[in-house]
Amino acid sequence: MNSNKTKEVKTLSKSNITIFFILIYLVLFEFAWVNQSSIPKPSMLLETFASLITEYNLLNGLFETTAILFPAIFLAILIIEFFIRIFLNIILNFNGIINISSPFKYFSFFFFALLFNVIFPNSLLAEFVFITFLVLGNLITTLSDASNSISKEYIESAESLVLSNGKILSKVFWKSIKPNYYGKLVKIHTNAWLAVIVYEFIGAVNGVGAIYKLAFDYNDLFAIISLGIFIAILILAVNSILDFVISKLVFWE
Amino acid sequence: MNNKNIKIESISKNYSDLSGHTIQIFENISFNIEAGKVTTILAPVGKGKTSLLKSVANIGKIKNGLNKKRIYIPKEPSSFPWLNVRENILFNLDKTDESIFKNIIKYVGLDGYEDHYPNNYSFGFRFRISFARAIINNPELILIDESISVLPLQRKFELYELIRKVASEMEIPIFYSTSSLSEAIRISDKILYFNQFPANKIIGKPILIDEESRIDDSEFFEIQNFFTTDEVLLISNSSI
Repeated sequence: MNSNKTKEVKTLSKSNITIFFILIYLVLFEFAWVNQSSIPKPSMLLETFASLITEYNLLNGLFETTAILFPAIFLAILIIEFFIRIFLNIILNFNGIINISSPFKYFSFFFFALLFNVIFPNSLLAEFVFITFLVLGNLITTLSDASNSISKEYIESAESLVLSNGKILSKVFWKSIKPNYYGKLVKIHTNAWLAVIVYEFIGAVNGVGAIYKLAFDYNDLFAIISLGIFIAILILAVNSILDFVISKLVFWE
Repeated sequence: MNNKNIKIESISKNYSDLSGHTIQIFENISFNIEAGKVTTILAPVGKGKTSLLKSVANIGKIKNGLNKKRIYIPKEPSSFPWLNVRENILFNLDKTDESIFKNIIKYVGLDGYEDHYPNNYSFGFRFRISFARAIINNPELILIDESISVLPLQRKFELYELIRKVASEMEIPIFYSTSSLSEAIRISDKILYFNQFPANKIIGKPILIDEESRIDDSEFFEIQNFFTTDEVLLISNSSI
């Protein structure tokens, strides 16, 4: 109960801070400091946003990005849910396998994005596979971390009820760590956006990342800022929806 | 001998510390837990009570295919917070006679709370859920690990009474652990304690007082005569 309240307060203060900064920006650069030219005026950004749709084909780019991103996240979540016993068995009994893969985390995802773009140029399928693997990797790490948080009393109780190992994993272990695991989904979603934009920026053919690349090539500062704000608002909105859905479906506290 | 009695024979427990040394907790100990009675293991904190209970309950050992269960209720109540009271109690059962469920839920004082979730309730409430789940599984033994020691006195007395009632009326042997001599005397038919640390023998003292004097402090001090002064000091952990 308390943690929910703290979360509410945190969310509230986060949105208050965002509104505060937007107001400051609006007042400062639209009305007070009108003669400066380095930071774009809010009204100019609105005009630029319209040109993003007409000239940069934002809606098409957004469709391409989201058509890759959300199915990839959804598929990664489904893979974990479907094979949860196998993943938990590996994490609990063969943690070495997770450790073997740990050196890969020192390669930035940027490296793998470059690699995929060079080997499979202009391939939407490769982009989809890249994002799916990235999200899957994040989810497995989160699952592994969440596994340390389980209360051993639940497992001991289930053991004394003579439940099979598989049932203990799916009916007790998994249920117990679910809030902790899904609680990190918002962060994973934000990271996935970053990854998909970087991937598309390198490929410079599809999606929002390619629009960024175009604006960068044209040296169009207003378009870059306008697109950045739009994507940030979009991520924030999806995160809020995710937060709401997870709190209704997964959190039992 | 009643065939519902449980005979524990020659169990040992050790563990390796961080430096790799093997620490023996108890070795080759045997004792009986009688049906219809509450038997308590009494020892100071950190002297192997939980290890003994887990060894007796076979926690950590593969037990698939066993018909009879030894149900262990840990220190922290183990009701699952993502399930309501009914789902918790029927957790591992595919089908149960509704009348049996109704009887048990009434018996443990959870009648009317079937759809409630345990996390909104007290420690004692959650213990009742774990206890009801244990009973409905028709176990050969219930093991309770200091689960009610932290409760206020009045709640404790209610649960002592419930535990004793289940033991005697349902003829289920109950093995209870505590570090409090006063609690042991109030709940037990027989108190067991280790002869030394690490233990190689368990000593049993029957509590031969009537029901009313179980909660009478003046009687309680007389009960100490079951033990020598040294034994009381050793086992009571200053909790008298």
